[in-house]
Amino acid sequence: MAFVLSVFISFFIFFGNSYLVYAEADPLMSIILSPDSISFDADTSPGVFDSQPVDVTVRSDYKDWSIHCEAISPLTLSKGKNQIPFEHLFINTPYTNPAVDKGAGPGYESIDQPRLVAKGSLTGPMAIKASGLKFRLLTTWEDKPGTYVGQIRFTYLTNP
Amino acid sequence: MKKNIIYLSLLLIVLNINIFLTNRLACGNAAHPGPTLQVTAIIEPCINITLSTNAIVFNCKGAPGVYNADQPVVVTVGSNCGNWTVKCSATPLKGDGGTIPSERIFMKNPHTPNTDEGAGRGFEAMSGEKVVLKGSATDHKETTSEFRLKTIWEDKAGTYTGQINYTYLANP
Repeated sequence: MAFVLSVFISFFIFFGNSYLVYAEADPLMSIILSPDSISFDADTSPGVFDSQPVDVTVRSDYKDWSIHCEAISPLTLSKGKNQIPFEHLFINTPYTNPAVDKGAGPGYESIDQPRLVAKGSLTGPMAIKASGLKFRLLTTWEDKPGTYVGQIRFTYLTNP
Repeated sequence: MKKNIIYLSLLLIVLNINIFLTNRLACGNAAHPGPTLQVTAIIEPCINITLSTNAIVFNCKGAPGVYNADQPVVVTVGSNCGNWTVKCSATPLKGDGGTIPSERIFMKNPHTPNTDEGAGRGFEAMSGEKVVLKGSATDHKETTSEFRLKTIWEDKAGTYTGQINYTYLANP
């Protein structure tokens, strides 16, 4: 009896899986960053410098979703090994605490760990502006002159 | 035989539970990669020079000789450059009675040679540019410069004015 039951369950799950995988491949999650690159021009004494703001536009078929961002490569001097650490790159989102100042102004948190930038639900067929982000760089006298480059990666979580 | 069937059944059940759980996890809250934002930071060479005062005065109220300035000048430098040098030079002092050449203005600081050029040991005549301070990337480095003026009988009484200009040379 147990054998028959387990064979039946196997049959159900294997075939059920195939159906589920097919069904869950359909929902769409599209994230657009505008602009898709930012720059800081530190042309005075060390301090905090703002980049262009970034809009996050989302089109989603998922009931629940959230978007996080995290710096994946430190800002690195293009001609040399000098780096500006993750801790000196800050972000302001609708979810950062406006009462907290961690060295770059109220509401700015460093991107040394994943930060929530947007969350929502079904958007329908039209993309919506999900969030507006501001970035800030803190420079010190130890940061050598030059051009530094790095990347911030966005990831999303969904609940069908 | 019966035992084998039971073992096989148990194995299949465990396998099914495993597949089921794995499937749930895979379709659940796994992070999916999204777009990437390119970040560029351009840091310009920067050097800040601060002087403790913007004017010094030589009160030459006696016979011609060597007179100290009313106060020393503290020079403070902050720079993000790998190597930098701050220099200064003096213009002649001009007045109604004529001109006092810059060679008779003297400066003493840690970079001036410990010789006596006529205004005391360590005071160097300001003929041309003189090094005030050298350093590398730092938020704060300072030095103190003392100034002296040597007057002669030919300097007519009056007020003479001039400038001491500070310049820097930076190597990122």
